[in-house]
Amino acid sequence: MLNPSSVEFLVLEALANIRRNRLMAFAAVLTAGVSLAVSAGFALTAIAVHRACEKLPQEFDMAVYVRRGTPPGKVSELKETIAALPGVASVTFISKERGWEEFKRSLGQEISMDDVLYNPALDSFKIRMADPRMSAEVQQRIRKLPEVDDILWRQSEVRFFMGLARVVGIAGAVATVVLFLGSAFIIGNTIRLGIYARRREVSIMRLVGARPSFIRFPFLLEGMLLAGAGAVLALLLIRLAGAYLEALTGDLQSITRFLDSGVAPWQLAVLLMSAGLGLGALSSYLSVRRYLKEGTAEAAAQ
Amino acid sequence: MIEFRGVSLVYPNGVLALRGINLRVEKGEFVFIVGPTGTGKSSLLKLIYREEVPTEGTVLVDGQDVGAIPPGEVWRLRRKVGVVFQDFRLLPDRTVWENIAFALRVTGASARQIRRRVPEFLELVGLTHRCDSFPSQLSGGEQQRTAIARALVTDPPILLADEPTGNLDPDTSWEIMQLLERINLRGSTVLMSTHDSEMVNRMRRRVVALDLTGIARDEQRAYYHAESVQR
Repeated sequence: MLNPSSVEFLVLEALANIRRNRLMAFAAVLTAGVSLAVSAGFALTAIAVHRACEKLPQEFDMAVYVRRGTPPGKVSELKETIAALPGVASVTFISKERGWEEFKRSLGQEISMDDVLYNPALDSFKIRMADPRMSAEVQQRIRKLPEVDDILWRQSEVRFFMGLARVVGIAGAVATVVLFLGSAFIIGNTIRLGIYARRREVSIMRLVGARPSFIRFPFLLEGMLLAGAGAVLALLLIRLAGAYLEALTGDLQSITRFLDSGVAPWQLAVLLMSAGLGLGALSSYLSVRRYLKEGTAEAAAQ
Repeated sequence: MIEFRGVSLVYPNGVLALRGINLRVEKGEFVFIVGPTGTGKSSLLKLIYREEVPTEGTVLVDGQDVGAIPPGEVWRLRRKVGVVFQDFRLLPDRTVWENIAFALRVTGASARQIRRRVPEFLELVGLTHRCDSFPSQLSGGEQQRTAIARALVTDPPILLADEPTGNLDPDTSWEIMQLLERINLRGSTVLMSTHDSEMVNRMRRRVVALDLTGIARDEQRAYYHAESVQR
């Protein structure tokens, strides 16, 4: 439908629009960049905290004590049974001898256990979970096994972190959506101001019989260019903030090793770019459509 | 070509602009719309290019009910109707050439068509030598001639001129009038609203006079005022 000269005209028109309204375009890129950076930065932080909250409980091992007098064959069977349970990452056997030594060592020099003549410890398993959400269920199933004497696990800690992960996840998602809508509103408004500034052109286009899609196109392109530039700016801001945070927390590896969003830089770039372009296209489409519906050709020209 | 059947127009603020208008304009006619301010001359023209929709009755252009055209399809009607205004409405940051080419560009003309048609219409309105000037560098008459070229360059069969000489001195007005007459002789149907009685009297064309009750008079080869007043 469009001939090459029309395409050239539309693209040049969009670029000329940006040049003519340099200040407004600069403001739009800046607001789009900052709001995209804030919403993406918030999303990344929320994802990192969410992941940390999910990962932390993996550090809490579950201890399963074997009933005294269980024959060694049954003990290795038990190990296999537990290892086969869903959500279990690893099962380590700790003999009662090693357990007793570790217990004595944990007491240190202050209290001597040398007078205790028999080993009160039980054979045990240290269980590490791959998916801490399964802890409660795994714990229940292990408790039912006849060879099991008792289980020790940090139920309340696991629950706390799991709950925290859920809250951070939901709050992060809501805040990201709200910030994203905010950016859409700002870009849409900028495009609207741009249309208002060029209402005479738009009115003449309508008067001489330009198709509505033809009138919309330069504004859509302009919105996408501005929001796309905003996305590049946002990417830059996030990288800068990331580098700054890294420099700041360089010595706190013990804390920061948990804080990883798991989003690769290229994924972030693709996400931000598509978010920016989509945002620009959608918000300018809505603005132009509303404007074309509201304003009549003549009223707009005056 | 253009037909009004029992058309009334009431604006949303309650102002009654037109009442019971019945009018038929044939292809190739030249019609003056005259009447005091507030009798609906501009409104009548707006109904033809669907800037307004009648409250009652129908307006037909080329047999099509203009009021029934869906908003997304109005552009098709606009390509049949060129419009010129008293205040020219040129784009101040574009040259004469660009102002005229703009109408072609936004209606999807090719670069070749633009290169061919713009000089043709610059010549028609006598502005070939001013094609690189900006509107602010032109006289009122030159600006109006640019606006006329822009309205016609897409080849609409109808030209509506809403007080096109309202801002011009008598000599320039007469030049514009002669240009519109030439355009009419080329085959365009021209409807022009005006207050300029001298020009209407000199031209002796069909005159449709509006007053607050509707069409007060519709005569061929007529004067601005009823003939009895002229004598």
